[in-house]
Amino acid sequence: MQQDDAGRRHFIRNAALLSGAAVTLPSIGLGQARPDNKPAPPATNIADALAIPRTATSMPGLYPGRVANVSDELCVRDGAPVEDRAALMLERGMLELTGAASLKEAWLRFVSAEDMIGLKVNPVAGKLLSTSLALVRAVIAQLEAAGIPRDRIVIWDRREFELHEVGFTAENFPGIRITGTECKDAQGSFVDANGRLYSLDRIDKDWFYWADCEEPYDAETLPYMVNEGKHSYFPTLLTKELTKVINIPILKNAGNSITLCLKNLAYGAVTNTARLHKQLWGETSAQVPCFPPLRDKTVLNIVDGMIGCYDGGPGANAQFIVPYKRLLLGSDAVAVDRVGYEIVLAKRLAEGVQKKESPRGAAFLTMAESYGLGVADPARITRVDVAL
Amino acid sequence: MIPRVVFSLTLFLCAAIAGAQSPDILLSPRDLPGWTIDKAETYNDRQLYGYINGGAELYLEYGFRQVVGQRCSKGEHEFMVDVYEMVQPQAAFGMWTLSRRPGKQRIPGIDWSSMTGNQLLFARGKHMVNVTLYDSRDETRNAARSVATLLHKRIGGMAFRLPKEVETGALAKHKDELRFVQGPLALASAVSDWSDLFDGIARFDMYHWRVGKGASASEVGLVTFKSQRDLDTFLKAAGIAAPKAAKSGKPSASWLMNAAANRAVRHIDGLRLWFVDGGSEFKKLLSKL
Repeated sequence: MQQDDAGRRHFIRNAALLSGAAVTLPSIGLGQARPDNKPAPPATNIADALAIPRTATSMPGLYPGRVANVSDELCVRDGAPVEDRAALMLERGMLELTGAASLKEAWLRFVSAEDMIGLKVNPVAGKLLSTSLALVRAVIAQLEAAGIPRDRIVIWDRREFELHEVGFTAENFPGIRITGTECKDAQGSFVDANGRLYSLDRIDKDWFYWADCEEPYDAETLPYMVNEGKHSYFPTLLTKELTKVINIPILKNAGNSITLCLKNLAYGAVTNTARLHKQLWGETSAQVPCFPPLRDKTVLNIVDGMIGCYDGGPGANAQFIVPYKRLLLGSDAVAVDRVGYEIVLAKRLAEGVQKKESPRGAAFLTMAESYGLGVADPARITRVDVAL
Repeated sequence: MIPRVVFSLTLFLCAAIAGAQSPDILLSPRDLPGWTIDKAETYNDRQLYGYINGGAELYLEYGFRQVVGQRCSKGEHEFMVDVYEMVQPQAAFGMWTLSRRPGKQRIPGIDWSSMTGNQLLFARGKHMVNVTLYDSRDETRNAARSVATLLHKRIGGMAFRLPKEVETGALAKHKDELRFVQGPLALASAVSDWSDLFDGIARFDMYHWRVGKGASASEVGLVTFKSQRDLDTFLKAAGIAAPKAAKSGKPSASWLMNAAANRAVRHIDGLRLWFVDGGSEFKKLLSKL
């Protein structure tokens, strides 16, 4: 990981310079005046991330602009995903995405037995609308069949206890490490005997997303945010242990936008996010994945769209949860998000939740494309539709 | 002796008042024989991120006090009961209007309620009750329904009362589509097309209807702004030039128009106004409201 280390030093040096400068020079980052004379969003250290050379595995990865959309009427039974159908959909999607002759070959284009692989799931809405255990089991089984040892696979998200609540437990996934940044001890406490958050030992202060906005947190909120101030830190798991990330979000809306691949990576990786929601929602979703720990390690995105939602997201509101009965696969998180956005938007329009497309809905995808993360323009996306 | 009696009486009265203000929303095994009722978990406004990460901001925007969650289970049957206490009844009503799926069946005997195969939802007083079913078997549905009815009775009080323009006005028959919005997050969820019009306005009260179907539906708002500055900001964004009389908040019988955009405003009083935005019902609405 020599190249990573070089990039890391480069990042730290420039970050120190730029994030200080950004306070007084708001034109750095996204601080440009907007043509409609609305106030510019707070400046960020995106320039630092963009200055770090890309690697062979940087997003958008092996298949820019290509998305496999696999649907299966039988994949949801009695309101729950069906594991063997999930496996079939996954297999077909991997083959369609890669064009590989075998499933093993398809997986080994993204990962190897030497990698430490993080499966970035999304349990934040509770077990009603979590990345399904069925799909994650299928992913693990196919990785193992491709020769990846179980002890090289980690299921992770920001909140360890949320993982447990939705069923990502040692009992359900024997031999797989399950971990998160925000964690409690066996007694349910966030802090040790000295009152120090356990989470602080799980973040890497050398890697951060800086934004010129902050929000004070009280004692009860802080354990969920880990730190205050203008920095959002990446977890050490991601910066020091994982070498590859497979991103497995859910097909769901966030207001009139979506919360799929990019948002699952951005808000699901760094600390201190509450300050970002109001002023920098789109910027955060597009910019945090530009930082090498995510940009250079996230090699594959698999959207769990067997069950999703079209309103009420990103939380779970049962009235708006629907069986989309599909998986979306791609190395290009932006293109996958764009396809997912169209699916969710079509459902919102059909249900009368929204009358027409909002220009704000997909703005973060255009921004992500401008950073080189992938393809947001539908005209340049190859969508391969497969029905089982 | 007398002071002791007075003290005891005071304690009794305090307890009675507290009881009246805080209905017994906790479920016990007696409420649902044969079922296991888990210990209640309570989260206040500062802890909400820990309970509904991703959804907390919307509750906080409306004005949130606490949520009490209890899991009910019996073998493979399971449902979750969340009782949200908001700061005032209109906040609970507003959250309900955003959380329900318009046009769905009501829970029998409960105003401001909705029911689908896996959810029962209602607003009563300062409370919104959300019962989420994790399976759709009859036994689970029946138990969930009895819990919803029980909580509705215990919360008691009055159903939320709409202002007269909403209750009996020209849009009274469209209550199934009604939403109550108080801030930008709710606006983005309920009527995202208007987000630009309310840019920079942090708080407002708005009853919103979508009249008609699909892309040709007309959007209608009964909006109360918090300041003249906010009202002016809105009018400017909507492209509606207001004469001085309108700017001072005086009622107007006629509509102020942005004909090019098919948008119109009419003052009701103070900082309240009707706003109609496009759609096939546009002209009809202007004549009715």
